[in-house]
Amino acid sequence: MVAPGAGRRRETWSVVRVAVAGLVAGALLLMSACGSASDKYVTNKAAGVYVRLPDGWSQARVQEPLLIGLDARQLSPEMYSLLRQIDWLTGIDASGNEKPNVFNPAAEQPNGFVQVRQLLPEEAKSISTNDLRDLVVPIDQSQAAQEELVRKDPVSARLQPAFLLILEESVKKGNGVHGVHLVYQLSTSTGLVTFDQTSLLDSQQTVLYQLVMTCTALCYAQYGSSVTSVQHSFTVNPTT
Amino acid sequence: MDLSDLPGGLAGTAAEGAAEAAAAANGLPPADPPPVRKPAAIWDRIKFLLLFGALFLFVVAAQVSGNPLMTWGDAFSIEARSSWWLLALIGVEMARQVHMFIGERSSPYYVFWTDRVFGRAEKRMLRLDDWNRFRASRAAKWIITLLVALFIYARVVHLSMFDAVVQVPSDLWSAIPLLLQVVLLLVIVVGQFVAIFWFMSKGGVEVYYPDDVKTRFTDVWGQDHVVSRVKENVFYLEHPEEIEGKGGYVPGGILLWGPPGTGKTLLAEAVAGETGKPYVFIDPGAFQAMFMGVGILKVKSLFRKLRKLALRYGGVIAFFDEADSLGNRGQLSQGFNRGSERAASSHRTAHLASHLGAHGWRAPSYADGLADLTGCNGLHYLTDQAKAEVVGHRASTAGGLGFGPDGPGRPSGRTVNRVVAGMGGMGGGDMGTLQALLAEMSGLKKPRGFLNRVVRRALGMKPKPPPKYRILIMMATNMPNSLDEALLRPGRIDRQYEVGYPSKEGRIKTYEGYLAKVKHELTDDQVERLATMSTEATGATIKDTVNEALTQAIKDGREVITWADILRARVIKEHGLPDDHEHIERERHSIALHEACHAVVAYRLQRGRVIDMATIERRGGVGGFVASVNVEDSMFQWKSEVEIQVMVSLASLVGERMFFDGDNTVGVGGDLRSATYLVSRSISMAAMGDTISSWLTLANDLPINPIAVDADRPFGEQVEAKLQALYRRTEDVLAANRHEVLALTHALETHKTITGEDVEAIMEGREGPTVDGRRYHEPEFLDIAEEYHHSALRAHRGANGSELHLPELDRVAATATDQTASSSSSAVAETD
Repeated sequence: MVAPGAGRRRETWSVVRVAVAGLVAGALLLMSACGSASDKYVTNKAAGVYVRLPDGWSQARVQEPLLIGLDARQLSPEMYSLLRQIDWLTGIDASGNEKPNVFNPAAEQPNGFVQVRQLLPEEAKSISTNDLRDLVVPIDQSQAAQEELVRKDPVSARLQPAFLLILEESVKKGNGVHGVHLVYQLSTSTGLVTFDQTSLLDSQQTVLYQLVMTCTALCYAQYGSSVTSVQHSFTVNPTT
Repeated sequence: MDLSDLPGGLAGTAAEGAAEAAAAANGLPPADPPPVRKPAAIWDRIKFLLLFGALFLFVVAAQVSGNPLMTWGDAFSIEARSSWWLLALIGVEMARQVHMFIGERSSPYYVFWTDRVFGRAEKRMLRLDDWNRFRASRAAKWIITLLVALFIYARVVHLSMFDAVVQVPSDLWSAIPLLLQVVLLLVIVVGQFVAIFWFMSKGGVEVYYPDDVKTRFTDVWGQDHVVSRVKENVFYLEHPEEIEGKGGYVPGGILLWGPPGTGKTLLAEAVAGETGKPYVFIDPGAFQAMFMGVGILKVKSLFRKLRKLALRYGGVIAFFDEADSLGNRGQLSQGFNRGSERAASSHRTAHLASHLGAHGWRAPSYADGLADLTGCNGLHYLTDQAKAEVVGHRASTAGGLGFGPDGPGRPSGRTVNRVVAGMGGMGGGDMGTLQALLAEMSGLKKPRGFLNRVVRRALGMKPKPPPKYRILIMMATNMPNSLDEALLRPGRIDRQYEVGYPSKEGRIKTYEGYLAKVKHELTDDQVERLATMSTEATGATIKDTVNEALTQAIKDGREVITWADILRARVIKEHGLPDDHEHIERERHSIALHEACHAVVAYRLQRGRVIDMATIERRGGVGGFVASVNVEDSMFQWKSEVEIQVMVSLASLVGERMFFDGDNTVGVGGDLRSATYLVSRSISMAAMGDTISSWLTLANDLPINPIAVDADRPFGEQVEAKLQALYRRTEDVLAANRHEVLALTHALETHKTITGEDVEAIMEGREGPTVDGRRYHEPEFLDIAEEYHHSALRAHRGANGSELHLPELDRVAATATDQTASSSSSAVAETD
């Protein structure tokens, strides 16, 4: 015969077990929240642009357009305000600083930006895949200058190149997104710096997607794999 | 004893169990089980956890969705950081559930929280009085609302809440143009409605300022008593200190009621002309509106105007003409044929009647469906009181509510009539208009003005009391019984004056006034006689009669009104135009005889009344009639007078039987109905028979069978006996006046219509205005008349070859001349 209180006792213990399990789950949840993953993803769902950053990298939205590839002197105030409205730019930095370096080639840690920009009508009319190469540094010109230097002084120009195109590949992604991926070295006053530059256009050629990372050549040699993983994660799914 | 069996359930409550066991051991009655929280259902335990958990899952899923790079783990981690508050809520809910759970198991824990923690907090809270707690909670609600708004705003502008506080004013400033646009839009949208209703709430109200109206009190003739009362009210309005200084107040309302055309509006116009205050005339249809609520707006706007005028000019008079158009709330719920409410309604009417005086006036033709009361003679020969009794009786049996001299009638059997008498069944204006009017007339008077209400209050000063608005409301109606009872209460309409038919002096003055505008050859005596004859003449009917007389004169190619024109006009106006119908000769004779009998009995017996006219011209269903008018304004009837009325009624039957060998027409039916009713009513109410009891009271007010008063003789027998007695008396009168009956019969057959003066002339053998009565008193006349009557009698019996030829009196006159020529009579010349 079961004692009258036995049923209640069993019920009590089952409730206690549930409560303890709940508390443990809650505690785990809170603990897991301590490890931050919010900086890991550069996300622009509106434009359909996603980048995954390695642990320790930081990101920050930049309100001002960088004007890379545009001649600021020819920019009217109206165009500038228009650019502000149509430009989405996020700086990324491997140093993990809250205020990341945005495109500082002399930095010791990889940094750069992810950009989405609605092309200005005159740009959209004339832009080609080839033009994408010259958006940060005029590649063809720089290569020609380097060849000229090699021709003049083949040894020192090759030992200390002013410009060295390491990688150039065309990129074709889904939904007609296409462009180029370039890796090149450039000699500057602060020393040799490396650029990893991916420039893409949507199928209509109206929106420009850019992922540009840079740091010193030494740093690139050190963090090249991280930069490459970031570059590989660069995903564009145009929403329009 | 198993500790787990203790009421607390948990081993932790062993102490309580032990205490209880000890109590039991001491022989004390077992105490109530220690209090614990009632166990919650499993759903109540988990519902919030599920809700918050589901919300958290949702935000995690939202993080993952659309981002091809995102892993669930990262999304979980990201949301755990960004949506930490959800996890916090989950934690709080879990802690709460643990708290509840322990409370369900452990009595000390439960008691600690309910008594010590919450109980003390509550006690502390209750130390604050209700008003302070209300204020604190109101302040807390405001603060929380503002904080939530600030939080949302901060999230929207991506700022911290502190920065957002700084940002708010500048953002508000920059949002002002938008706000102004919205306000402008609202103003336009709302303004359209305001404008529409403003326009609709205007109209129907005319303001007259002193000297705009030329009518004076002296223009109101024959209503001196009402004029003096109204003057008194206007005096108080213009000199309020006379009454207010002595502790009274200026009467605020006057109701003028009475038959149409008696000068109510004229009196109001005279008030406008005499007063030094603005006079606002409100149209009867002013509060009728197409849309609901406009009537109310109109009332409000009217009273705003009245208050303004009252303050500016020290007083104002508002006159509502045809006030019955304001309606009666009682009718709204009444509807048609709702018998259950009739008694209440009749009570209300009775109450109203007492307001309006014991001898309330009532226009029978408005509501009573008395169109068939024409009978033989259309009741014209009855006195007013007798007529009113019959009318009141008929009205009550027909369903209307009689307002006879005996007070209100019985409950209605046909509500439709009353509804018709009111406002077409829907009250005046639209719903709420009357109520708005009532409220405005004696509602709360609020302090006036922005300065007074806001600024003074803000400075902590008491607002000045509302000023005394001296508004005199005058209303005029000919249907006082259709007014709402609440409208007539003191404080709204303080005074009710009956504007009845004008006095004789007033009528003389009115006749003289209107006759002065035309050419006429009436003497003062004739004017006085005219006024005497027309006891119920009003200003309007007198004006109309004079105009009709002028029309008659013009028709005859004259410009000057004669006495005959006036008499003809009166006949047309009072009795209408006769049909173009020629009676066959036999019938003409019997009808003339019938009317002559009425006229002879009336002439010989009536006091205070004279015959106005007698006619055998057909008017609708009436073959002919004898009409009498009062020459004195008596208030009560004597028993003997009622008997005379009955005899006048019976005269037709008596005469027909007397002259037609006991035969009579069915045309006497109406007369007999009147006679029977008058007799039975007088027996049952006024001790006219052998008993004294008021049978009506027994029947109506007491549970006594009135038959018990004189059980040996049925009531009908008593009535019949009385009628028989009066019949015999009438017979005596007619037998003694056979000559006069035949004379009047001849005159009626000859002239169709003769005036009262003609009747008098024939009866007395004098010269009348249209008939020379002397001829009927010549000795030959009776033979000729008897001969003619016998030929008519033969024709009536159906004898062949008996043709009727109405004898011409010229022949009689000629015969008389021949006979008297030799006897040197000098009266011949006058017989022509």
